Amino acid sequence: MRNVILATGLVGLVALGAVSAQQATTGDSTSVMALTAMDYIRIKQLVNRYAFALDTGSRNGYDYADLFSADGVFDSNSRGRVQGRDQLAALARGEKSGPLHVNHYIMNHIIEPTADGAVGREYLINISHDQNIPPVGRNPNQWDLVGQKRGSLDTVGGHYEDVYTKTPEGWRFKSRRLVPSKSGPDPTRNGMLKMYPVKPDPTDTVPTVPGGLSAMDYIEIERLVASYGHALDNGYGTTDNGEAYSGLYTADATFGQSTGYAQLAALGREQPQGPQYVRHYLTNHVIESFAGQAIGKQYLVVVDIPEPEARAKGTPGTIFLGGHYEDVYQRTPEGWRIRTRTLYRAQLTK
Amino acid sequence: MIAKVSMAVLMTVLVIGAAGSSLARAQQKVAGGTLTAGDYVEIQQLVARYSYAVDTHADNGYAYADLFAPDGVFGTTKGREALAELARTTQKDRGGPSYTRHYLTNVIVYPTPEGARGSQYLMAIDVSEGGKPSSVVHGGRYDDLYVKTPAGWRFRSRQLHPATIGVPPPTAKLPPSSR
Repeated sequence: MRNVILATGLVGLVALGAVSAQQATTGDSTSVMALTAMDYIRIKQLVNRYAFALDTGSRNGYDYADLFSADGVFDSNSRGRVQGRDQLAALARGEKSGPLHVNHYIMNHIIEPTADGAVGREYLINISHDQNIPPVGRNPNQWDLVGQKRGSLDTVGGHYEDVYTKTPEGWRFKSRRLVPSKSGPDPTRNGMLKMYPVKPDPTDTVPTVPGGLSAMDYIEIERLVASYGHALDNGYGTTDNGEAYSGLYTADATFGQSTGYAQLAALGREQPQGPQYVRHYLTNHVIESFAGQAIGKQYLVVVDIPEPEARAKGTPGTIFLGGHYEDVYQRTPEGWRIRTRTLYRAQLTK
Repeated sequence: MIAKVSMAVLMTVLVIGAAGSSLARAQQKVAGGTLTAGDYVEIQQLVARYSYAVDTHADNGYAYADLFAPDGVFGTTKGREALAELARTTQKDRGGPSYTRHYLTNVIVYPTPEGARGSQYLMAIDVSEGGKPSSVVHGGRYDDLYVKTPAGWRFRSRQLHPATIGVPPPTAKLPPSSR
């Protein structure tokens, strides 16, 4: 133990120059709550539930309200300050909704521990998906559909500023404020949050409850799902996107009409692709576990990005498809894999 | 210049290719490198800060530069001063503490013998100001190498590959707007 401290001290001394140059980026960890990897994961999971709860208005809006602490507040220019469980539930009920409605795409989640909890920020862009998309013929050539416009970005976009608090029920929003994107100076706001070392913890590799998931399980399942676009769109360093894609699944897995490696690989190979191609953007990944099972859901938007030539002409990208996936994951000797996946296309009910 | 850039691209492709010749295999334990849960979280936090640093121009660009290791490189831009200058001059007349443009997702991180590597998707969005519609301006994939410095995990290198579609099968007719 003493050796470790000594070694750390030595490394610290040697690196003093580098550290002082980077003070602005990394915080001094003595004055803040030490957060473990599982704390970061729980806070991320809280944030990932937000869009599902708001866009679906599920449980009469109370799924949304219950993401906040008892005295929690949501604040935005358009709605003003909303505080209290019933008021927050009413906010979620009052939005456009439906069990399959997806609109809030939230990314770039940064977290900074504070003396009594944590603060965080994320980017938000709202995307509306067309409702009455004309049916395409059976087995269309997927390449011919690239560039079809079936949705659009809303005018709503910007960043959230959150305060999180650890309640007996888990991490909750103490407050969340939406700040619309705007260029120009703002002396009241500093765009960066500091980074702190994550505190090591036994739950990093051991589930907190029997049959539950460890921090490392969450990280591996997050990465499995984050790999989806890379595998499908560009094969991620391989020449066969079909093999990369089917490699995300168990041998007996099902996605839509396709079951097993061979069918899933064939499905992958039918999709538009290329070594530098990107199209499937996934976010808001919610992971749950019970009795040794792991399930998850996340938002999808398929975007046809303007290529360099089109960009130079000012041609904007187009939204091709939106919705959410629901998954069952399975632990295998090779790591976590997708056992079943279902795509629910975006649909607005009210 | 072109030779240099293509060399850098080639190197990145080679590095990724060598480290994970198949994604399925890449997800198995990579020999010679392990990362703790804390390492993954710290690297995810580093990656997420990138957008804020470049969009806000915080600290006159130095917030961006300080996400990189002292010898860190973005594309062909290397060194703290050059990186800060790059951040200051990206979207020179836009930017600021409330400006959002670089939306990143599909964040993946793998261990390597020297540290870690990873990738994300970028969607650069021109978010509505003054009532005009929001639009996707460009996008692509970032490929990174990370190194653990005494100050924490930092970018050792970062390269953006703009989105370009591959060669379609002969039966497909791609609309001109997407090429």
